[in-house]
Amino acid sequence: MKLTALLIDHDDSFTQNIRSWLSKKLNVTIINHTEISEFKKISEFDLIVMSPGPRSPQDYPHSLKFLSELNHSQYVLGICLGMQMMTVACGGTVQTYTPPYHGKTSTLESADQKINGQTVARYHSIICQLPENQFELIATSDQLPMWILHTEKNWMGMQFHPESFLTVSPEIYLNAVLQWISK
Amino acid sequence: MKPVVCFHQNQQLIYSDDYLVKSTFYNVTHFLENIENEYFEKMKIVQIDFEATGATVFILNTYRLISPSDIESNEKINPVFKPAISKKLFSEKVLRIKNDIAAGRYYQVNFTSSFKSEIAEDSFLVFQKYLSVFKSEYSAFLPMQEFEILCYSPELFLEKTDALICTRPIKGTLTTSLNQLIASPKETAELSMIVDLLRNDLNSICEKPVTVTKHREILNLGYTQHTYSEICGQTNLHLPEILNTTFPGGSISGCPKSESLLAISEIENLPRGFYTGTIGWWKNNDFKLNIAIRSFKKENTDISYYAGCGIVYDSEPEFEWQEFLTKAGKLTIHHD
Repeated sequence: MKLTALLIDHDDSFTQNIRSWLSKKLNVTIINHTEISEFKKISEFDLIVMSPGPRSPQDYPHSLKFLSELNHSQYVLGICLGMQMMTVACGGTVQTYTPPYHGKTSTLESADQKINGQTVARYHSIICQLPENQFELIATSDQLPMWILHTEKNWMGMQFHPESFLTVSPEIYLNAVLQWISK
Repeated sequence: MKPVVCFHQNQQLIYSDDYLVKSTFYNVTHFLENIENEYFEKMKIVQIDFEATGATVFILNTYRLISPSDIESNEKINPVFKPAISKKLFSEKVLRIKNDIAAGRYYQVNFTSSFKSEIAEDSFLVFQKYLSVFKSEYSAFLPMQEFEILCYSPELFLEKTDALICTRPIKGTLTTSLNQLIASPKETAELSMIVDLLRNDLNSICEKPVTVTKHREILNLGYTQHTYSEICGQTNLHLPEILNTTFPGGSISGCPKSESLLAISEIENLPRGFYTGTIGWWKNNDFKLNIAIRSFKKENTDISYYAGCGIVYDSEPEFEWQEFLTKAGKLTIHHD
């Protein structure tokens, strides 16, 4: 049976691309971020995905509250705004990044040779200042955190957009997510 | 009865002076569902306002296919148009959009304004005249209740043939040279983000992942050149449902779309109405709809021509102003 994902949408225009990317391996349910508090079946999903979206983590108090109250064993993937929310929920901060990186690609730097040198799409003008000693860096670009893993909670963050057509090998990131949640 | 004219296939135009007109000013989806139920097999010309609050459908009793050359005119009509916005205010709006982008509110917004003039001649004659001036695959002439639309769009919004659905967004405009357009990181990003947005919109109506079938190809219009892409997928949905999910088009709103639409309503002083909405034909389950750009609205002797630019963080007010003027094509423009 296929694993299941709950995709929490922050009024974004790439949510259906993320569904399409995930749906190669997972059954995806989408809800809007305003529906989180009424949604009762959270723990039934194998993976929660916090979508990208406009503006800043602080503009989504329901999503931040949801993350901070979530059981630590629940697997959560945060993409772009989603990763920024994870950072803030763990006591880190976000700051504006100039010039913004919108619809452009960059190269991942990583100790993992499968990931190092991969071309990914970026859409952000805000960057994470991670809290100390909570996240492991899987990959960076321009010395900025691009792919992170929480050392205690089952949280993974991607600042880049794995679902974009500009990302050269989207399956690398989907396979990595699957391996991680199937452990 | 004034004729209605709309692009069809292979550079031909649909021409009719024998039609019924139906309009709505509220629920467009419901209106289109009723039209579909009642006139499924009829050839229809559809027009929907950008704000999706108004729509008009011409149901053609009879029509014929003609070539643009059959009706093009060399009439000497050459009015002088003036921008409805000052260069100073235009620049202020571009800078305001850039501030929003830097704050993370959105990645791109399409900002539009108009040029105004007066023409005493009959609106269909004016349509015939500009048909030879603008090189356009998606032209249309629509006699509305209180004004006429003269559209010379080069951009396809959606084309559906059986289950195949495609969109061809245009972003990127020639500034200095073709090489500059091709190499520009700004023009590349401007189109790429709209491609991701339209992948999203098509993915929402297609079961299987959609594909980018063309990317950054050149469209030469004579008065300027653009880059465009193509995204295609398979869907079994009908036009009312498809538009309910995908309208308005991504290239003339911005990205993310919902936040961009909000920003446009704050930045532009007037509703866009038909401009940047859609015009096209619809018959059975097939349709072909343009993005209603490069268009005039003629109301008695008053005539307006509309143009806009995609604003990203790398946009410079001076260059965007030049692009705004470039999109007026071969119109005679007087500005400060």
